Order: sequence, then C-alpha cells, then structure tokens
Amino acid sequence: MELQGQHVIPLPRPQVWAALNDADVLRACIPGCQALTKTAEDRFTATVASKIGPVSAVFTGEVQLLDIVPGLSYTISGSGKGGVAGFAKGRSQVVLADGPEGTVLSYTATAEIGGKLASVGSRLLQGVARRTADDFFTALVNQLAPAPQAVPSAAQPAPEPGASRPAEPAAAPAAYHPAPSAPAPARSSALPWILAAAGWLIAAFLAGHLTR
Amino acid sequence: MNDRTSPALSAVDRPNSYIGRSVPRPNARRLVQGRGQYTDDIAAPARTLYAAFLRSPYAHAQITRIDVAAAKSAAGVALVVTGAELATVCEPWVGVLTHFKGLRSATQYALAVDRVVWQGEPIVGVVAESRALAEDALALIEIDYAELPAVTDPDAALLPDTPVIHAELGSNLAFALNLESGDAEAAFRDAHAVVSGDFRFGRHAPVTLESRSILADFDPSTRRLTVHQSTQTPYQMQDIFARHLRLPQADVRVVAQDVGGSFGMKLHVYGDEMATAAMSVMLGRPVKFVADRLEAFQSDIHARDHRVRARMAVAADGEITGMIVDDITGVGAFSAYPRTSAVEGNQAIRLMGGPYKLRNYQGRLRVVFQNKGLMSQYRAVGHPIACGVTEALVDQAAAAVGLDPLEIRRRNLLTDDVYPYTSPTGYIFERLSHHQCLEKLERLMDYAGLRANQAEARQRGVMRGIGFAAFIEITNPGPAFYGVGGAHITAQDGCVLTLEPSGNLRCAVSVTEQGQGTEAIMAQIAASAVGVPIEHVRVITGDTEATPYGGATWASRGAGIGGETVLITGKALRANLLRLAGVMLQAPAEALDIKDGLIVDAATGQERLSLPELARIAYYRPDTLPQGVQAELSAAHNHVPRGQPFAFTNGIQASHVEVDVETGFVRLLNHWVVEDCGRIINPLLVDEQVRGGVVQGIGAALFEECLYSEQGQLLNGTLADYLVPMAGDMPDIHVEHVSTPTLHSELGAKGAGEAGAAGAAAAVLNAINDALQPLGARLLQIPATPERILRALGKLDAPGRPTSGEE
Amino acid sequence: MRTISTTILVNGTSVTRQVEPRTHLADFLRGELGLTGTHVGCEHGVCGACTVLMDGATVRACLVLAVQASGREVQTIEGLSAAKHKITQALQEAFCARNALQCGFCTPGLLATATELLTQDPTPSREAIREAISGHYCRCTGYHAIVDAVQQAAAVLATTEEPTR
Repeated sequence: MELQGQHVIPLPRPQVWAALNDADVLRACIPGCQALTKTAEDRFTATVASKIGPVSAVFTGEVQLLDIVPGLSYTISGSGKGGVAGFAKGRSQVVLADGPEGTVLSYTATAEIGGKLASVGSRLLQGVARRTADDFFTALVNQLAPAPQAVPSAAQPAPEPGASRPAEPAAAPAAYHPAPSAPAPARSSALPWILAAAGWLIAAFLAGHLTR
Repeated sequence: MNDRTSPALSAVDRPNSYIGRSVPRPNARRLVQGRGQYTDDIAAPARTLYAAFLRSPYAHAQITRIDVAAAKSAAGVALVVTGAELATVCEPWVGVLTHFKGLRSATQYALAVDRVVWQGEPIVGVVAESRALAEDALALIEIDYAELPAVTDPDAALLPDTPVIHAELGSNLAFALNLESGDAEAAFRDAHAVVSGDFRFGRHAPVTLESRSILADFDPSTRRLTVHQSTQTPYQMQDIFARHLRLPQADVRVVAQDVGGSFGMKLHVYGDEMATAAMSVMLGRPVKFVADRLEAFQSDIHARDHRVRARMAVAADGEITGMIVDDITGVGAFSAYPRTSAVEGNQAIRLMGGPYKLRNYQGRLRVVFQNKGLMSQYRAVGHPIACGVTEALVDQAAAAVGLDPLEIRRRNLLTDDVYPYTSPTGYIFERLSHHQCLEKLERLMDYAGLRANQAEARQRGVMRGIGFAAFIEITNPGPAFYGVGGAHITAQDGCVLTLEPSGNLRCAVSVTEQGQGTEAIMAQIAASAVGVPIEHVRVITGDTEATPYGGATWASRGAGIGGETVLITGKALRANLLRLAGVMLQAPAEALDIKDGLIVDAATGQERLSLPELARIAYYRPDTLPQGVQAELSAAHNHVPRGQPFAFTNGIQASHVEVDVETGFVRLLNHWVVEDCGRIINPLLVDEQVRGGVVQGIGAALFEECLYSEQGQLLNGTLADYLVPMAGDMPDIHVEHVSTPTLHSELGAKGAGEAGAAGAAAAVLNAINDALQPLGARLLQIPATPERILRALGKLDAPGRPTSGEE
Repeated sequence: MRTISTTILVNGTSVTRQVEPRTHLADFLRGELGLTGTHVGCEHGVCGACTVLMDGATVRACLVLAVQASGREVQTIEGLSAAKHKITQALQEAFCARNALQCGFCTPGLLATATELLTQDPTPSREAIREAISGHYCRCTGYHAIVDAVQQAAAVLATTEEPTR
C-alpha cells in the first residue's frame, strides 16, 4: 500500500521537528500507544495496544530513523509484530518546509502487512490507515498547540492535553486553519511517523473482527 | 416428513427396476431437518480438548526463535507443540509417486520445522479446554522470523536468479513432461491458418461450506485411535494415520459421517489434521480441530493456477491439424501428499484436444513450486485447463477459416465409428458420442434462434455471445491412477450385503457420501440386484470399522466402481437366497425368483415365501432345514476395473451471456449441457451433479481467484473478499443426456461428478469472447472479471489490484 | 470472564444460561443447547448457513450475540421441524423430492430464508426466489434445484391453503 500526503502544522519548523523526535509527545498522540521508548538517537521501540470489542491485542516493534537532515527531513522505517494477527512494516520519507501558515509536512510512505491481517484486511487497509492517521494528526496538533489559547468559541470544551484521542477533533485545528471548509484538513492523511504504528493498530482493529 | 411411496416395482424392467429412476435420497430427510452429523456436530467425548494453530504470517521465512513458555502456562492449556516436537510422534512425508517419473518434492512436516514456506503454514499447535482458550494461548507465543524472498509467479519460479525454495532440490521445478505425437511442426508448416493464445487460469479455492474438521480420540489403554474426520476417503486416512503415527492399521478407525462438501479438497493430507491426531496420541485424550474460514482459505488445497501458451494449426476446410501446448502450473510449496500435485498438470496436457480428431500434438508441462499454499486435485482435475485452451483455440480457428463455431466442431469431433480409439496422448476411448451430443445440444438451445437474437440485440447495442465447449471426462480410475506409483490408495471397492433377520438388506460399502447421493444409488442397485423394495435396504458408508476397505468417492468413481461392486454382490446374495429358498420350498432354485421382497415362482410370479419368513427360518429355526444345509445370508465382493485404465465420458456445453461493455459485467442468460455418462442410475441425482459442477465452473470463469501480493500474502481470505457464485447471478441450467453404457462393466455407469465443472468455464469464456468479437476484443484469462473485460476492451489502463501473476 | 444471565425462547421453550458477552447466537445454540442444525460456515455473516428466525425474521446467528437474543424468540431448523411449521414442512418435502440439497450444510439456513420468503410472498417468481436466497452460498447444487423446490413448495401450499379471503 502506498500513501502520500501533506499537512500544515501551524507552528514553526524547529518546534515541529522537536515534537516529531519527542517520545513523550508521540506516546501521547499514537492512539493506543502503551510504550514508546527512545533506545538511541535514531531508534524507538513501541508497544501499541488496542481493545476493540471484547478483544485486546498488543503489537510490538521497532522504529528506526534514517537519512536524518536535522530540522528538515528523514526516512522512517519500522516494523511491528502482532503475534497471531501477523505483522506490519512501513517506510516513509518525511520533509518539513516553511509555509505561510506554519510548517508544511510532506510524506510518501509504503506499508506492508502480512499474515491474518493481509488475508482478511487488505481491502480495509487504506481506509483504516487513513483514519488512524487522522486521529494521530489531530492529537499531535492538540499536543503542540493546546486548544484553549486558540479556540475562539468558548462553547467548545477544550480537549484534554495529552488525550490520545480528543473527543471532538474538529474543534481544535479549526482555529489554525483559515481554510473555509474543513476544520481538519481535508487531505490530512497518514503521518509517516505512525505508519509503522498504524500497521499495528490496523492489526488490532482487525483482530477485533477476527477473534471471538 | 411424510412416508414416501416407493416407485412401483415392475416385473418388466427387472433386474434393473430401480436403475434409471429418479429415486429421492433417503438421507436427505435427515439433512433438511438439521439432523446431519457433520464432524463438528458429533457430541464430543468426555474430556475433549480443542486445538488451534499458530500459522506463518510470512510466505517464506527462517524461524529464528520460538518461545512457547507463556502459552504453556496459560489458562486451560494442556499442550503446546512445536514442529520439531511433533515430528517425534508424527512422521513427515514427501508428496511423490514413482509413476510420475522425475517428480520431486521436499520433506513436509505436519508443523513447520525451522522454516516456513507459505503464509498460513502451521507452526505451533496448542491444545486447551476450549478453542477460545487455545487461541488466547496462541497470542502468547513469540516467534522471530528472518524473512526470505518469496517466489510467487509460476513463470518466474524457474528463472536463474529466482531463489530456490527447497535448496536440496536445486531448482523450483517439481515435475516436467513432454509429449509428442505425429508431426506437429509439419502441421504448423502446412497450416492454412495458425491461431494462438497466452492463457491464464486463476488459482481458486474449494470453499466447502463445512471446513476441514477432525475429532481424534486416542485411547492409551488399548492404544487405539478413533478419528471422526470430514474426509472423502476414510480408508486412505486410516492407512495414513497408522503409518505416520506408527500405529497398527487395525488399531486405527476413521469415521466420516456427513461431509459438508469436498470436491476433491478432502482427499489430501493436511498438517493441522495430522497434528491434531498426533496431539491426541500425545495426550491420550480426544482433541478436536475445526478450521475457521480464514484457515480454510490459507491451508485447504487450491485449484488450477496455470499459464498456458498454445497454438493450433487449421486447414482451409477447418480441419484441425495440429496443436502445440506449453503449460506451466504453480503448485505451492510442496507437492501434496499422498496423491501428488503432478496429476492436475499431467491431465491438463493429456486432455488437450481430446474431443477432436487431432493427430499431431506437442505438449510440454512444467510443474513448479511457489511460496503459496498447496495446489492439488480438485473437481475435474486438469480438465478445465485442457478444455479452456482447446475450445478457445477452436473458436479462433473457426473465425480464421470463416466457419461457424458449431460447424467447425462438427467437422472435427471424433466420429462415432472410430472406437475404440487411442488419442495422441495415449488415452483410450471405449465409446463416445460427441456427434449425438452436439446434435442434441443444437436442438435443445435453438442455436439458429439464438444467433438471430444475437444479431437483433447487436442492433440495439446489446452485446450477447454464445460459447461452446466440447469435453471429455476421465472417470472410474483403476490402479493406474495411484497404486502403480506406490500410493496406498486402493482402486477397488468392497461390499458386504446381508439379509438381516427382519428380511431387510444391510449394504456395507466402501464408497462414501458427500451429498452426491451415493447411498441412494447403492440402495437402488442393491434393491434391483436382489429384488427387494428400496425401503428394505439400509446402506452403511464411511466407517472403516463397519465397511470393507475401498477407494471411496473421488474421480467420479462412486457409481461406476462402487455401483458395479454392489451389483455383483447383490447378484451373489440373490443366488444364495434362491438356493436357500429352494431348499425350504423343495424346488429348484432356477424355478424361483425374488420380486419385491418375495420369493416367487419364476414362471407364474406366484408368491411362495416372503424374505422375512425366509430370514426368520434361517436365523431362528435352522434346525428345520435339512441336515448339512448352511444358510448363507451374506455375500461379499471386491471389484476393481480391469478392462481399461480408466473410463471416459463426453459431452458438450453451451453458454449464452450478455456483456455490459460499459461496466464489464457479464450476465449469464442460459447454460446447456448434453453429456453421456453411460448408464444413468438416477437421473435426478445425475442432473444435479452436472448443474453443481457447471456452477463451480462458472465460479472459476467469472469470480473466483485467490489473490496474492508479490510477497506471497493471500489478500482475499474471507468470503466477503473472495467471490463465489450466488443464486441471483446464476442462470437456469438445462441438462440432457445421451447414454452410451460402458461395456467393461455390467452396470455400464461411467460416472458423472465432474462433467459440469470440466467444460463450463470454457463455454462461458467463449461466450464472452463471442460477445466482444465485434469490438475487436479478446480475453484469455479467467476469472473474466469486469476489470479484465474492460481492459480487454481498452477502456481501462491503470493496473488494478495485485493478482497471482502480473496483469 | 464475566457472564450474563440470558433468557431466550428457543423453539418454544424458555432457556436461561449464563453466557459470556462474546458468545454469538450460533455458538450458543450449538454449544449450549446442542442444536447443531444451525451450521457455521464463515463466521462473518456472508454464507448464510447459520440463518435462524428471530421473532419470525431471519438473522445470521453468527452476527447476533446470544445476549442480544435475550427476551426474543428464536426458531432453529430443529424447532421448525418439530413444530411441523406448515411452510417449512412443504419446503422440506420439496427439497427432498427435487434433490435441492446435496451435502446439506447450507440447507437449514436456506429453509429459514425460504420459510420467511413464502410467508411474505406465497407465489414468488423464480427471480424473486433467486434474489431472496442470494445471501446463501451453496457449493453443491448450482441453485437451480433449490429455486425449483421453493416454487414447488409454493405450489403445494397454494393448493392446500384454505381460502382466507
């Protein structure tokens, strides 16, 4: 599966770069992330749990950063094992650039899933990866720029900082995007960071449908 | 259900009184009331445990570490077994037979040892108090893999830089065969026209609605193993369990009660089932395993997966003068055990051109390994490939010389005066009826009317097509099929027929029932042979303890071989009973007859003695018989075909379709079959065998394909993703017969299980191409999905979803 | 695992069991009650083999949790047979006479749907029958005989039906 996308983060580039290298921020933003540990300057280990319906599944894996140009770009490569559910592998190139409304993050990514995941989930992969990525992205924006300072309307309760999944994703990003239509960017797609993790999440999602 | 009234027994058509009649199946009444006993329905013995398997997520990988410690201590777990541990209890196997000269395969373990070679290969078995607990424990097993490159495309499998799956074999070639007859090169040199095609036949899955199921119960006190299994062939499996688990054959009992579909898939040895039996031996407790739908897709044998380059030479008058065929077929990671995966390809290249007078033929077959699940015998083994290639080329040849598709077939089909006939590939045809079938079909379908309809529809921009497929079908296999190659697969069947004290007959026979109506047919034959009402016959099948050892039901052998066995046994019992009645009635046996369950005077038909009365005297008052008389109340017989290596049936099918050239969707308007299976024992059952086979062929033609990624990942392992024919998609199917009984048996039945599947896909693809012909489009790949049809029409450029080969 | 007390009227008899929330109705019927005429073919609602009647309407027993059936009436093939349900019985007769089943694995589910069909439409066309049973996979028959049998049952019911209007 191949994904590509672009997203505007209404913050300066160095701040975005730092966040994308901050295990704490990532742990808070990856839906279902139980552990994310930086094991070296360019390596993380991750454990992502998901509970869907009556089933829990845990996915573990390693993420490595390659071709790092600090503050500008890197390639991320990760793989995760989902036990009986199978495995997920992902690789993505990420580039940050300055734009009029903040930092423009562009990525291209490939992801591969295997085992039970592939056999029952290939049809669903694209959609699930996209949705999972949207959740991550929304959470990341909330992490970096907490909503209260930006939400003009007092009617919307601010999301909890650090919440892995904001109750109402539409509220927070709206303030940062002058675009008239969508509160969340319409083309906001998967963030490469989580492509590897997305695989594990997909695995968890599917496991919920598979096991009884 | 109400009592059924039996068709009246007529003295005129005895001894064949029930033969040729549409007698309903007695066991259907159980099934419609939900009283079937499929393997998972059988009440589990006390202390039954449930197995689940961890399967490889990779198509090809080295196993670098297995940690089962956590699984072993999980709740409810009785046993966790890796491949190496299991191999100490269960001998591995190699799927080769000596009569396929040069066929090679690697040692296959029930559970993978050190290396996995297809996605879904079982690696670790867990046995627990419930399937759910076993699955919970699977989640605790840790395995590290070093992924290896996967071989998926059959063409690529033999390229020099492709990795070799089994290093000890040196290449990915399992089997190769070259056939040559006549002078094909000369035929092509002299041809008026040459037509050709690069054909692809997708890999498809059996999708029996009842998945593979087994309940194995090893009693350590007697060291006897009882296995309830959803299998076509309990006798083969009895031998397999005995040899591979190192038990005396006499101490293994295999029972196949109701079987929810098989189609050839339930003939093969599967690692998870062997492991289940082995784990029962290890634990000394009953262990059950039922494959879930995903496991079925990943581990049942698949069918087809051929790529065929073929050419046909034709003379100006439409005579087909030569054919050259190159078939490469991918069989997955191993040749299947014990029947091997060479049979499909072997039959495909030997059946090419089979219905026609063709004398100059060259066939080349290469069977290759891939990192996919195994491909092996499935309904109409090899036939749809031969038929698909031949019939598509015949249509092209007709177009090349300006003949009507039916006319070119009329000119080339073997005529009725050539038999016995030996085909260029060595097949012997006893007596076929191609021309009678063709003529009957032409009338049945109103061919002229359909062509007029087609022309009229085209005026309206509606593209309809008519496709034909003449076919031959291999049936009634003798020992030449497997026995000569060293397989413990018998070609004979056995029957024990007994007059019970009630006066009823008990017929224990080795052919098995998977819904074909085996039991009904055997009852018809036994009742006819002895001379009793069919309600007085009880047929027992599917239990090695209760029936004679035999070949069971596969390769359309049930009626032909099993039926003949019962017929001969019935005649023997009849002779016994008449002899006994003669003693009782003080009359010569020749002066007596058995009709409708009564001993009658042969000349007058007057009743002399009822069978219940004869049985009463024989069982309870033998003291009233003269000294020295022993009542022989049973007869037993074993029968194997000796006249020819196997039989052939023939027939022709036609399909009428409408193709929506905007969407690529195909609508099936009608389908016709005229076939000749020799003596028809039960028309009701034969017609439904044909219809069921046709729809399986239509599935292959339009819908069914196992899709794989380049990494060997099966991408459509659910019934939501893998399409099978549904009622709304299917046409009515019109079936007619020509009957040319085989003279190699008294019964004359040739077998009918696979005729429908042999030719249906070819007829549908030809019909599609006939519809597309005015648009200059042609498709030589099945399934003919909307996407492929649109691509053939040049209306689609972008690649679609990945398939087993490149598009 | 947590269990929930669940009461279901199954084939006319009220049954109460402690069931795990994850237990689906098909497993409940088969495992708890031994009603093995309900077959499980795909476990995700596609093949139709597990179809039963719940409050008179067809449901896929693999997609309904046992706890969801609490307080409902469920009829399986065993119950329809024992109750001599007029439509089901006519269908069973016709299926046997027409040989509209081979392995029989899909048959109980098909009979539930065909019973529902003939309840709602006593004289369905062949197309309507094909449409109604398209949620049932049958790998043996090719469907033609099933369509015949449903038509035949409808015809028999029409001749035995007392005029209601």
